[in-house]
Amino acid sequence: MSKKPAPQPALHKVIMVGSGGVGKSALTLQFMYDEFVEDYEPTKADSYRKKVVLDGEEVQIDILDTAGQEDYAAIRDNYFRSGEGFLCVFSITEEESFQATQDFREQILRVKNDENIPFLLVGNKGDLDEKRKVTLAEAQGRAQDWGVPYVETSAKTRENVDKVFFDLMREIRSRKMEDNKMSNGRGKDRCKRKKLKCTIL
Amino acid sequence: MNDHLKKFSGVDFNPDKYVKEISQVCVGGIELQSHRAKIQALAEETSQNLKKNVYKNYMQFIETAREISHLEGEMYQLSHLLSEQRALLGSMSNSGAEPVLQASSKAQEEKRIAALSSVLEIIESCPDLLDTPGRELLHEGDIVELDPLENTALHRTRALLFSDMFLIATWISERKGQAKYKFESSYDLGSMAVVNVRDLGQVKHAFKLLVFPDTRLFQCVNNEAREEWLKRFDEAKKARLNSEQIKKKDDNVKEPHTIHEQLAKPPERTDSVEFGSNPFGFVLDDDEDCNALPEWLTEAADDLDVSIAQRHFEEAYAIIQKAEEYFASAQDDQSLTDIKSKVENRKDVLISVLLSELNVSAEKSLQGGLRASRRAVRLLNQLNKSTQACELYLKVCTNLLKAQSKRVKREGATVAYVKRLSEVYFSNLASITSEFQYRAFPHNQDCTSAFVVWVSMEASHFLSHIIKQVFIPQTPLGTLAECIDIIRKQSQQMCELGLDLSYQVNGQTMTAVTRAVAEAGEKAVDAVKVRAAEDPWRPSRQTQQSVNKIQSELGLPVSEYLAQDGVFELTANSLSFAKLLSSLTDEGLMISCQDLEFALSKVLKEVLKAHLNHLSASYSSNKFGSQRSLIQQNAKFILDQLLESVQRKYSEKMGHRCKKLDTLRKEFNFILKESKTTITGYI
Repeated sequence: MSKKPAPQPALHKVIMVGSGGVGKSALTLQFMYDEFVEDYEPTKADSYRKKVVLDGEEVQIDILDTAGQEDYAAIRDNYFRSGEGFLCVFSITEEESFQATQDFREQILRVKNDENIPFLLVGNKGDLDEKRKVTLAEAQGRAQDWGVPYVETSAKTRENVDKVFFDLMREIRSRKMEDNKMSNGRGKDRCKRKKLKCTIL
Repeated sequence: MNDHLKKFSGVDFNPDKYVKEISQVCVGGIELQSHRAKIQALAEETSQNLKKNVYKNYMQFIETAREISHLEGEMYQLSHLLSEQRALLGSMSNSGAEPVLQASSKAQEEKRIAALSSVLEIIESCPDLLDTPGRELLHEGDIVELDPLENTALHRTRALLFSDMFLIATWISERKGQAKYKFESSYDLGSMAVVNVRDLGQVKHAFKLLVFPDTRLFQCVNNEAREEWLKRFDEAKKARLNSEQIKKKDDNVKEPHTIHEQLAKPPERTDSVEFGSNPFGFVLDDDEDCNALPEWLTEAADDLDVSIAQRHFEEAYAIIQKAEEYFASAQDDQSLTDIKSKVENRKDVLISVLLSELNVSAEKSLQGGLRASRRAVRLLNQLNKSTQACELYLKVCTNLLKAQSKRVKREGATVAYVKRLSEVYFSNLASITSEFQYRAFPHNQDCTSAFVVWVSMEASHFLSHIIKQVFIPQTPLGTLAECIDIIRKQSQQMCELGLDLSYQVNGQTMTAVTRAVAEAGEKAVDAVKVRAAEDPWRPSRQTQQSVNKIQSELGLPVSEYLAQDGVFELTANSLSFAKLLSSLTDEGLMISCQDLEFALSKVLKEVLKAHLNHLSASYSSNKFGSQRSLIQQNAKFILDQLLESVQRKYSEKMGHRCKKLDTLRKEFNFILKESKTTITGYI
């Protein structure tokens, strides 16, 4: 089946990471269904898929909303391995969640073994400016260190929600095109294996 | 005397030297004769002592022999108990062979292993699930794998969640009624992530498995099933996390192992998606399997199923044997262990089928008797399940005996019933015994001891039944005696087969028989007393012919009491007493065994004494002064002829005379002595 020309539009795999309670699911649900969920219920691991038009081209976004409380490092690695781009979310009202982004970043880089992996640092709960604990400068500084964009969002007001997802998808898309150019003929690992198998069979 | 004795009993006693010494010392015939008399007296005394000793020891010998046979029975029971214990321990140690977590109880462990074995059963070329101690099957179900890109169904799979891993097997076919799967891949719980698929266009009830570098998508039949899966995954993950925190050391060992596994398997895993839709992949794999093992072996499990279903048990056994021989010679590898466990399972099935063959059920007819069980027993023996087989076999025997005994209807005379029943019973028991000893379980000590125990139990059932039926108050002693005699004779059949039941027969009937004898005695004494009160002491007139008739009836020489003039000196009372005592003696002796000697002799003595009291009372009474000689004649008849005949019968049965009766005779001898007429010498 995989050998048939794919009728499906390109698929971009986005992963939401970040500490528990920073609003990963809220962002995802706002993006998916245009709704804000007040009630907090820790996520285990949910996946969503949606067709969107990215710069006039129809693509699919696959969102993996991970568990912030995931205590099993090995399993977290598995989430990260499957992602093509990451939205690393923290709450601007919570210092610890900002600190935790450091660990997430390191873990993702270790797992993906790629410094240029599409990655956005997202400061959520922008509507709660009065409770802000993490300054814009602080966050921007860290983003700059990592060489990634920093965006402040509000899942509640939908501010910048579409932006972070679309920005990340653009990064992923351009990254994929780059990869294809760089290793034209060789293809990505996965493609290569498939082709090899085809010749055998 | 005493120094003589000492001399004779000395070790260095030399008879020649002794005689020489005496002949030197003694002068003349008289002195020698006195010596001779002395020695003769000594000899007599010694021989008497010897007799006494022999008698004493003889009794002791008999008692010892009896004790020994009793002990033998007990030893058999003991050995039966021990072998039962051993079987129990054996089965316990077998099931405990796997290293078991101490916390989990044995039953749980068995259940766990059974669950894993049944998984191995339905999944082809499955890795050995039993190799990891404590692995448990947490959840399983049929789910459909979807293409992660296009969301289209790929294939049916069987998913199994264990406490440490997740296993996926693809559905092959529904061969022989049972779904079969082929092992596809397994993932360590730590190396995979489960993701609930919230939204995937048209696809509902799905969850994802993130296993680098793959993402696998599965669809459940409904939302509940999915929730269940996710819950189970979560639980498993948490349980594992907990246990791993407890034993970090173990973790360090396990981690490289899983990594190694991952490295070894990536091609298979990455292509698993394509594999599902591509039948060629399986064909290749199958070929590899078949090359390694002979075809009959790979088919063994299925063939066994067929054979067992068609009740070709011998064939099944032959396959098992062949397979076991192959296992013994072949090297262990994955697919072989697979087949091995399958064959083992079939073997268990075969055993349980065979055991159920032997199981006694109400509907099953006993037509064909034990011969019908031969086949199952033989096979079970070959399968080393003799003990169980024996147990069931004996149950069959019990039923058989019961059924056969029930056919004998209780109608007509007791004796006839007992006769028929005991004939049926003991001939069946004998045939069962020979069947058991020579056909079913030859040369099997454990089973023999179980059998001995069984026989003794059956015999006691039978005897208690008989006792209930026969020993009803007011049953004449003659009938009882006949019944008991029949049973004793029938039980001899068993003796010929090497199983002596007489001890048990005697033992169990003892109380009833003793009581019956005592009752008969009391009745006889009453009868004697009644007749004595009415005794007119009158001779009767008889012809030679009628006397002959009486003589043949009593079996005693009575013609001498017939005078020329036709006067017969024996009174009617004497004659009827003679009849009474003879029949009492006959019946008593028939019913009695050695152990009852005391009771019997006492009864005989009582009865005789009652009559003799009557005689002596009459003799010394003035009322019968003129009839003294008549009384004496009658006393002579009773004390000499009748008593002697009783004694003869008694010693025939018991091996010696009845002392009590002899004492009694001495006691009443005076009746004869005071007479002036001839006295027959005491023999």
